[in-house]
Amino acid sequence: MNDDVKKILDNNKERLDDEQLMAYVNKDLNKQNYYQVEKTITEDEFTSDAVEGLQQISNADDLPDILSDLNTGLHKQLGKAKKKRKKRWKDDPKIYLLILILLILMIIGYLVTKKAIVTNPKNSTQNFRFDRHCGQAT
Amino acid sequence: MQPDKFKHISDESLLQAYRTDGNREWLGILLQRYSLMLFGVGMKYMKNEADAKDIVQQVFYKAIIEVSKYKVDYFKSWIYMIAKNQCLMQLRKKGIKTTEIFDHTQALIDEEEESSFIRKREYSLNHLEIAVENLNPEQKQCVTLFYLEKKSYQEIVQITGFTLMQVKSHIQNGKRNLKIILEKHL
Repeated sequence: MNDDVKKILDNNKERLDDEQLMAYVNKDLNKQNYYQVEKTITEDEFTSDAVEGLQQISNADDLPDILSDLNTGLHKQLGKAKKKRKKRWKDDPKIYLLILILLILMIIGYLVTKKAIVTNPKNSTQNFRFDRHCGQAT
Repeated sequence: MQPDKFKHISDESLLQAYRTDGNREWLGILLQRYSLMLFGVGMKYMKNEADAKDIVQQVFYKAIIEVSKYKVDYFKSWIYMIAKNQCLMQLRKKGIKTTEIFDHTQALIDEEEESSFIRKREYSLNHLEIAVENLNPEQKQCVTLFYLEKKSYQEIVQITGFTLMQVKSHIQNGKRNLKIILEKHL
């Protein structure tokens, strides 16, 4: 026995990338890489389950297409979540623009009314006097 | 197949970046790393490609919704537990008996315990040699061939005459027993 015995207790949790996984399933690795993948399989339950499942695929050549479908689905889900976020009124810049326009209109309206009262105070009060007898503004 | 441009960024950093700016692109990169492995887990349990694909999408959905709710330190273990649970729930719906559903927050604790076992104990070469000698003959043979002679599963199958499943099982159980022996006696 040698120092390698200490490596038995190594806890190798490294993640195998897609290329390594596919190459392993397709038996397309050199001896050293093959061993490294199997060491990860032995030490990581997730990788072990994943490889066991991938080896059950009827045609391993389909894996790149399957992976592409899965990732398209993922990005659709992320996109949906993004759209949902955009729909929140707080995130829509148009709302702020609308509020600004409303404020400007209110200020203009106030100024115009004020100017009308200042220039012709009699007319303005007469116009709004309520005739109790007729029930109409005169 | 596109190479992972973000390979140099760890899972933890991606998760941190997502938590910091809320940009789901980070989460997308992180989840995409596990697409194929999740599909493999789905295949292992569901035994058919369509169901396995559905499982992966369900896991993505759950992860997108739940990742903000928990303090996830070990993303890989966390997402694996979600996938396993999703498979077991689907099998139950189909009326197939399954083992217990796992608490995916437990994955975080297990991971910490595992690391602390390695951290705390500094075993000498002598201790390990004694522990290996205490394994049963099948486990000792497979552990020795795999870890010390660096033989592949297939080579061990040819040398020992065990099936592939037996070889895997002897190596994994052998490793587990080594830890138990070291904990108990040394």
